[in-house]
Amino acid sequence: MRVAVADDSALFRQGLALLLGDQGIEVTAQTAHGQQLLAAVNADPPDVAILDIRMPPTFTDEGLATAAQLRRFHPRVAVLMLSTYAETPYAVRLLQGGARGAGYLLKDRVTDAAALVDALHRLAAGETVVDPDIVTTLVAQQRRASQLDPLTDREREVLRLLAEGRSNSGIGRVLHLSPKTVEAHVASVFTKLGLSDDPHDNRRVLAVLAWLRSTTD
Amino acid sequence: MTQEDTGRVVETAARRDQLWPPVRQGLAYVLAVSLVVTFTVALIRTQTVFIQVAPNDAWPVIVTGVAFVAVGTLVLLERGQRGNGALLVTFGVLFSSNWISPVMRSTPAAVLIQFSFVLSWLCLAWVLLRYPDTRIAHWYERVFLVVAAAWQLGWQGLVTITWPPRWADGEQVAHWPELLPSYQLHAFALRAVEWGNLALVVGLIVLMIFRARRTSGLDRATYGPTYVAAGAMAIAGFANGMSTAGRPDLEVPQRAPYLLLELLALLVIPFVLLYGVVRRRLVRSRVADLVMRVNSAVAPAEVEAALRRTMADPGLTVLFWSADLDGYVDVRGQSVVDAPPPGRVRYPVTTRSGEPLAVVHADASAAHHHELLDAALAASSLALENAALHASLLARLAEVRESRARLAEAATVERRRIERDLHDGAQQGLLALGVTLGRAQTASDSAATAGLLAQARGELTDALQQLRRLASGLHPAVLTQLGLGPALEVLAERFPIPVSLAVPDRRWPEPEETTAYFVACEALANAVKHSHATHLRIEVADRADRLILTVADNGRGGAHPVVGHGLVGMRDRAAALGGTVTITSEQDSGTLIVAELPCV
Repeated sequence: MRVAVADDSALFRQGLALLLGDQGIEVTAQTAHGQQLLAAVNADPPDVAILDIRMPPTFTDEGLATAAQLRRFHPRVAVLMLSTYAETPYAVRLLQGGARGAGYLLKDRVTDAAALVDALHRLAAGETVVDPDIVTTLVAQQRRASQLDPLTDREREVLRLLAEGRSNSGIGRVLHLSPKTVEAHVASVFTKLGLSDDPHDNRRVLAVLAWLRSTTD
Repeated sequence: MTQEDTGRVVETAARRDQLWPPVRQGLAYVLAVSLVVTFTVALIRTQTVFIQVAPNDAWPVIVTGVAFVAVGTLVLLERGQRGNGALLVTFGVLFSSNWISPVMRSTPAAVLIQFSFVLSWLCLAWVLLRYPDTRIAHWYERVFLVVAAAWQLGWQGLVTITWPPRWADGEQVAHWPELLPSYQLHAFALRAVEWGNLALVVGLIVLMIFRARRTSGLDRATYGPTYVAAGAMAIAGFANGMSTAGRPDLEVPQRAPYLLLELLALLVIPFVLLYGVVRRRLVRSRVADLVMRVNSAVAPAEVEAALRRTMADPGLTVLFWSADLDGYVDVRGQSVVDAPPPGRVRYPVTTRSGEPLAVVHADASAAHHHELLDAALAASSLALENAALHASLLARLAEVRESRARLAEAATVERRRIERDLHDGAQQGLLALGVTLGRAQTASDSAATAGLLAQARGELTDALQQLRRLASGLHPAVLTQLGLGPALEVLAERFPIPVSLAVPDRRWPEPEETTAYFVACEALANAVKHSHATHLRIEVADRADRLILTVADNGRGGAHPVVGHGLVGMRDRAAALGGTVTITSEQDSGTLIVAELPCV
């Protein structure tokens, strides 16, 4: 596993590189902003590019713009957005540029090295990753509460993991369930929410997120 | 224009307002025209002999007489000019009938006609000394006229009673007062009248020079020509008088050149009087209209519009002096530099006490209508003073609004700065700590350490969450970075009551987006605290020129924001951007909050 890191906070960037190194992940480049990251990826494409949203020179949504360019010019390089912002629209904006191999995690996840490495592997494998905190907010929101009522607790867990971007096998691993059982739960969730099941994992995430974010009644 | 004149104009304007005066005025004109025509016909018919004997003398006299009667009638119809008009008409009649005495021999009127010559000149002197006022202004002018009248009438009386007309052709004239027939006395009196007439003429020359020098401005332009013409006439009259004085034996042809000169000079007078009348009417009607409009004008823009119409200058601008700003402001109260653009001329206006009041930038052609502009500015001086106060207030209001906008903007900038500091400073520091904790957990080999590290990790995550909420509450980064729609979406996601959204995917200027966002925050906070609503709806209209945000709930309504209430603060904030926040909250029918913010 090889990654390139872009973050304007040197302290965080270097700590992250050390943390990843501890986990046996090779850090191919450490850069302070998006353009340097693009150059580094051009020179030596990694498996995953890790980047922050707010970076120089604009200090606004620089990261999102860089991610869009990466997706366009290096579709085989997965993108992990490590951000301090826990707001859904950022994650959605990133995933809209292509959900395959795209991930949005809060920087808080660095305290859990194993979870971070797991996410990197999933991304490298072409899966989608959405931060559990963001999914929690979406699932907990009041405007969807009544529609989620018919779901069993287990089905809610499955919905949550679907939104995080997990595949059926991934859900099975987390919940210690057989693939057959997971499939049944997923089918039930989709039926109860009125969604048509999409066998493609990445598109399935977008459908679930879109349903959760839907602002109409 | 004097105060009195202005008052007269106002009165004229007020009279015009009534329905019947135009009818009455029309009738007056018809009557006047028919009188003048009648007089002309009568004059020509009675002058037949004179015209036959000396047509070169007769026609100028007829024309002059008719001209004076006609213009006198016109003046007579003017407000406040009845006396002057009557004097001019009288002069016209007496002046021309003076020459018809030969055909009126057989009537007693012939006696009166003896006096018409001196009377006519006294009338003319009188009217010239007072016109356009209704009385003679100076004591020496009055004394001059009274002395002249006494002298002339006295000696003319002597001329009459000392000379029976039969001495001329042997015919008796009815009722002739032959009280003192004496050729010597008659000749002496006749010379006295001649010299008196010369003195009258010289006095008129001097007094006319005085009058011409005294008048200024609009009066000078309107009446100056009359005084000059009167002076010229008096000079011609003097020349004529000098050529004949003491030589009654002179035949008419020998007198003709001077007489013709005098008649021509005399004939100029009705025309310059006519010029004055026309000019006064034109100016008055314009200024009268202006006064009507300006009296009802309160706003500076209305005063400006009135002056524009009066001067027929749509590009005319008025700048008002603002003592507060120590500078000029325009009709909207915005500070402007007093520099007329090319082709415009600057006319300063001051108060009665000489303080600056306003400046008018008029078209360069206004120089040719200087008097009209002077009159217009004088007539609107009170309105200008009011308008200047108004404009000054507007300027102050604009300043307050701007400073309020600056305060709101400063508050926003400050909150954003703190949010950024939290993000770049404290958060990044804590995250670096998080990385170290993550590494430590991997490196630890004792179960006890791992447990403590897990606890530290949890505490750090809590701290980071709190910090994130704090930063987001100060100023959500998503608002700046992604816009109002995503920011409202985040707000709705985390709100304890279901909120549906209809927000177009577009951006507005940042101050408007920020204000709309915080209005929505306050509206939601208000709903959750007071309304018992079970559902809310936020809508934003898809318009570029203004941001219209609507927040509606299905609660119990009856919300009455008071000072200190969050929504009142929002109203101030919106007002700072020139926008409004309206709250409709009937009992039991929910609350509707609409923020409308213009985006310039």
